[in-house]
Amino acid sequence: MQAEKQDILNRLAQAVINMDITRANEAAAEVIRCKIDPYEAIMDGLAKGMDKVNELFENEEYFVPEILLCADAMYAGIEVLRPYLPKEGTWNKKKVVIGVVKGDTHDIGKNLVKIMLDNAGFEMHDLGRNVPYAKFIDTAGELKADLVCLSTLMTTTMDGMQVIIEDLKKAGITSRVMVGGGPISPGFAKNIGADGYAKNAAEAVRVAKSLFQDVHLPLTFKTPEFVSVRKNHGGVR
Amino acid sequence: MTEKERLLKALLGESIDRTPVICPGGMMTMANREIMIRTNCRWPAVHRDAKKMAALSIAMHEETGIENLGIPFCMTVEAEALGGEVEDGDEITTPSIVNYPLKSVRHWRDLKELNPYKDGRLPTILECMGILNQKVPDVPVPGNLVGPLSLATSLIDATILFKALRREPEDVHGLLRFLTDNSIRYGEALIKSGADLIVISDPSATGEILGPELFEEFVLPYLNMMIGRMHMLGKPVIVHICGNVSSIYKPLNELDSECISVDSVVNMKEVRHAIPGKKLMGNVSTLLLQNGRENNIRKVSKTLLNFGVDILAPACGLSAKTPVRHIKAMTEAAKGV
Repeated sequence: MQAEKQDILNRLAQAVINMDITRANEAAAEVIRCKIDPYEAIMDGLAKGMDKVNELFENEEYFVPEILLCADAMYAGIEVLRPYLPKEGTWNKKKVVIGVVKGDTHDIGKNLVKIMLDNAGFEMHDLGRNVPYAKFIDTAGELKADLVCLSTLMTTTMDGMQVIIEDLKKAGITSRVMVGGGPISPGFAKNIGADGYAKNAAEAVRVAKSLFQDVHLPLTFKTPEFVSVRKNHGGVR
Repeated sequence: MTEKERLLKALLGESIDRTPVICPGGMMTMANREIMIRTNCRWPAVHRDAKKMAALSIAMHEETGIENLGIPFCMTVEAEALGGEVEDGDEITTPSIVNYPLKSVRHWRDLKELNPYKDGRLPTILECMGILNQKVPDVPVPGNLVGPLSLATSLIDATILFKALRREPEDVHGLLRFLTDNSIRYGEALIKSGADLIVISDPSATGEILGPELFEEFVLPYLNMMIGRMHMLGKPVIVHICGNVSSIYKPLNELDSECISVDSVVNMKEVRHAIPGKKLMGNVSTLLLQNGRENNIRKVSKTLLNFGVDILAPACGLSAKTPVRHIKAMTEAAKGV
């Protein structure tokens, strides 16, 4: 029985790594048939597969298209298991509002961060791309969000992040703020008063988690678009 | 030696008196708010007005010392002409696509063939090109094109497109082939209207997103088709790719353009070593240009010149808030002022 359970969990992880929606569905159905705890199946099966995917991404064996397809397989598995999960409320998830700041319509990096944070157990509220400043403030206020994630890929829109952080404060909203995206640097993040800065999706998870523990990780992170952090000033090193 | 002669000679590897400094326009935006206010040619109105567009780019050339004229000020003109809905932005944000015409890759057959003399803002850009050629014949004007894969990400949600690279490769090839043919048609019109060289920006085709395998399959052949046609028309080509390109050094060697322009994350020394046959353009950080000290901008520019960059340029589009004196710090370094 134990061996069978381990086998099913492995198959869940493997389906995610192999970007295989069909196998993820089948293995998830096995979970239900064998009366394995669906929460455990997500954490020790699907999410574990996604952790491996993250690793492959950091090692440049997988790139963005692969991550997106792995995530599809993971979500397919979760969809099968969802009806058998305890009600959401009992999970006590941290609420995250995420979006790409107005003026910018690039959202691959944001989508990856969303996938990774979702996978890490955060409750994600995605505002999409080209999001007006006020929408971040309103949504964070309504949801009493724990974290607001702002992304931009363009130098021309990064100043909007500061406006949002100031407006959140003015509105008395205490959500933490994490920023990331091509032109953003840790220094810029600090200057505009962000609580965290993520260089990519894998690191976004670490930073987001650290914001809710009293552990302070160094302000570094890594997402494809988020990978392009301007560590240097260009030129020759 | 005129600025036009210098740039073209630099691209062809002929001897020149000094390194040119340019900012091509298009995705590599060449505009600035101070100058918009001074000339009363302001975003967003400028984007749809050939005369104002010409006036703003001429003033940019005169006041910043950048040695070209760069139009348009965004990378949405082809996508708009192909049915993308554009929001024109405001006085500091560039136009962007807010609604994609394609919901799935296989619907690419529904896209209409592009007519550069009729569709969207393309006629405005061609008209502006004509004005610039007439008014300032000695200053080079690049024809700015968006690479097929990046253009595709302006016509369909990038998440859907990137998944389709693996799930529906045949339809993606169909779409990219269609976009390549249509971009070539627009490129031909740009050249007919007076473009001196072609700059293809392909920000989404970065190795960071795709990796080497997908880059070779979905980017390289289409860029080379475009480059081949532009070469037949006698124009040199610069290709700009965003982000870190270290994973795609090998396929970049097979790119047929004269010159590659890279982002500020890229180490020029490494690129020169990995891609020895290409002229290199770049890569002063636009963040440094906006927020850095003039001294540092001068220092970074000089280091690049001493290293032997073939064309000095910003690593990406200039933010409209970049102070003119910061841009001048870069251009003066090239001119030895």
